[in-house]
Amino acid sequence: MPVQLITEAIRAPLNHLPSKFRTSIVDLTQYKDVEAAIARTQQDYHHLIDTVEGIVWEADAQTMDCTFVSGYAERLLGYPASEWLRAGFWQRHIHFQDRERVANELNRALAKNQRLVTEYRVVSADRRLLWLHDNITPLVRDREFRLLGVAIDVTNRRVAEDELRRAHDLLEQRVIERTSELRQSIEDLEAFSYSASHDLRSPLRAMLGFAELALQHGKDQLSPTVEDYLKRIIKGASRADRLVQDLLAYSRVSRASLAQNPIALEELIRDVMEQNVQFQPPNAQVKLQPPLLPVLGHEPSLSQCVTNFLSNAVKFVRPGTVPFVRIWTEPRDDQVRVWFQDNGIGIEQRDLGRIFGIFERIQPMDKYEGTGIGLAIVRKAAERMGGSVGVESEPEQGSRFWIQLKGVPPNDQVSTPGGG
Amino acid sequence: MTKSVLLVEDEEHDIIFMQTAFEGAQVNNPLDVVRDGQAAVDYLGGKGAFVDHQRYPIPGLVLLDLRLPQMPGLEVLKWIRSQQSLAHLPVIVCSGSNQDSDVESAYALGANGYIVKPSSPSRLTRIISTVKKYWLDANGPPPNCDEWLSVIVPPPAQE
Repeated sequence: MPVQLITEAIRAPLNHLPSKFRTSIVDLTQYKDVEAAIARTQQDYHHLIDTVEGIVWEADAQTMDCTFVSGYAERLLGYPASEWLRAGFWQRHIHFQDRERVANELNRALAKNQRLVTEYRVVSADRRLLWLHDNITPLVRDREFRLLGVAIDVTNRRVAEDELRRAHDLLEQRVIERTSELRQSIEDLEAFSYSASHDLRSPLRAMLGFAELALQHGKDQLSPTVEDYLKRIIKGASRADRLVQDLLAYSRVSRASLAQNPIALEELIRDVMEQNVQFQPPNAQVKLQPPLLPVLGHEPSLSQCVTNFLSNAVKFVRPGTVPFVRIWTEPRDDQVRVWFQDNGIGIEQRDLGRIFGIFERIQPMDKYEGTGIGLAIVRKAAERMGGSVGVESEPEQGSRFWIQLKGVPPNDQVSTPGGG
Repeated sequence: MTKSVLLVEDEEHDIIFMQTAFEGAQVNNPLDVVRDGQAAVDYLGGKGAFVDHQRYPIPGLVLLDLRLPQMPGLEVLKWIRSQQSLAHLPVIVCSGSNQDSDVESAYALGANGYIVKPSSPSRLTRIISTVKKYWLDANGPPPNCDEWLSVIVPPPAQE
């Protein structure tokens, strides 16, 4: 049994040495038990601290020197605890770029007696750089200002964040580059169109003009053969000119604005008919079936589509037949399908798939003229307006072409065409 | 004195076609031709080779191509409209281009009309005939053109 002996002298009369003593025997068992319990608790505590996957540390707030550091510190960074407790250890091993910032943050936290959460880099014993996420609490113990912290290794997260940021920046850079390339392509295309409209058509105009003048001048003097040759020149040059014009139209719808406006379909179609004698009686009969629902689109492009549909309807008929076209609309959910039905020669099943392709011609050149671009223009225009095109047909039964576009939501104003 | 017409055009064949059309439409106004933008400015400003105002008077109508050497047609148009004495001079752009951007620019800069060069001379003749009937015969000239007189032409044939 652990005991403690306390001997004290019994008070003696003045000027006399004490001659009597009292001895107390104190049973230290409980005290020793408590001491042991405390020691065990401390051991458990240290054991717990050491198992935490983070550096638990304590430091003097003024000198920033560590007074305690958990076992994980050595496992993570490779320095034994004894080194950590040396003066200036922290300053030497925090990354120089983070040193000032963290020092300032610590001072502010101390001044306000607030907790601080911060991240900084440290150099490990094997010269690796790790990111620590530190949760620091200022406290006062025994009248001394101390800092208590738990720092976890967040290197992986920081590395991932940096990579993400780098990838993001790279992506942004790529987008900027690609947009610039696209803008350049569009400018090149516009320059090409402009050039084509002037430079390509000019020599064609010369060929057509002089051949026609030659025919006029040589009216009764030319041999039929020469006359025939001149006519063929005119025909060839006319065809080339129509190809250029159609390619330009294709280019125009490809570059058309994506802005969409409500369009009064009936007025647009009537305008197209007014501007084209070949769509009017007696050349053709075009009947609109009201009401024609309004659509959302780009007016010049839609005009082009209507013109092309009607052009085809009027052209591809049996010789001697007066072309007849019926136009009506059909709602399809939030879209509108515009139908163009004709009494023409119709289309074979096998050709239906390719008829909207560019330069695709179904009929032989000597029977029906055409550049093979008209319907490609319609499809391109429809796509740009967020719509679609299609056809139903049987040979000799006429065809039903359709273009489907977005409908106008109720309460929207419908503009009258003729402004552009 | 009959007002002349100034054609600003650099393509040889287009000049020939225009002259042919003038003949075909029986336009008696003299047709003067300059082949580039700078020459047009000199002509209308009475400078350089065109100081002789008798020989090169202010025309009653300008037919202006857009694709010109030395100075593009739109620049010439801009210059014409900036000159006080020429601000109201009738200018019709006569171009191979049917591009919306060109048409808009021309009108924005003050063109009185825009003709797309047709590919057939007979069509051009019909167009010039219409131009003559309106701009050269019927249209009231802008003020300050006190010497404007069109030549008497036979009445138009019944359409």
